[in-house]
Amino acid sequence: MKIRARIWALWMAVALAGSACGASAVQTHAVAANATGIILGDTCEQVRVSRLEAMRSAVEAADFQDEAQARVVEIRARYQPVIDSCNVAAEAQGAWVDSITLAASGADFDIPSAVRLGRSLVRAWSDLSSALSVLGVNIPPPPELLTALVTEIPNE
Amino acid sequence: MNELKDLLTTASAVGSAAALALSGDARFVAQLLATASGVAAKLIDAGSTQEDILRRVRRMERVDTLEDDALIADLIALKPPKRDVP
Repeated sequence: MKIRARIWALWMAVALAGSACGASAVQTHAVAANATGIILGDTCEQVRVSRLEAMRSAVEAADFQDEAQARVVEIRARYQPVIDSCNVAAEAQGAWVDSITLAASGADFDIPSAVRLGRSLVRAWSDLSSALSVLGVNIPPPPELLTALVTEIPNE
Repeated sequence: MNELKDLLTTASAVGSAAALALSGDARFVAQLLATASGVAAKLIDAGSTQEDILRRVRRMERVDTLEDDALIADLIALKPPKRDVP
């Protein structure tokens, strides 16, 4: 299993070097993790703002406390799956960033582990996309750079 | 820089796809559009060199709703309690 992982890591490093204009594997992962962090991070912040505005509007439109409370509860329930998906994505992306940061400071870059972390972020992106679609918002699939990084990992 | 082009396309598509979505919340769509243009600007800024990105990879933050919920609780408290039906 270790040999297979090493062969795969070597192949991946070569493939990434070719696909990223000479960038190292860790640089390529950094670009993908950075862009994903910006895209999903900003999208999730807008989800939070949208939730707040929806609650504020609902409270303003209500005449009494119990009516306002009921409307707020409904809005929270509607947004909660999206918030949960955002937080799962944040955990996955954070772990990926940790591995990249360690490598940038001189530690060995464990490519199979980094790819697994990237793959978990792709799953999180898909879950977030599904949750957002319930709110009537459709976002596109992850960038090709991200999916290309995580689709060729061997099963271990 | 095909990678950057790919990422910019995705960032832009996040906004345009949202605009086409059958959402009842127009404000949310408008915010996502603003996000997409903002993301594109940040990617250009952050993508000056791959070494730069390596030094400062953006980390996603968990969505913290505690302050928002506290604000809404305060607003609800300003509303009158339900009138008793005689």
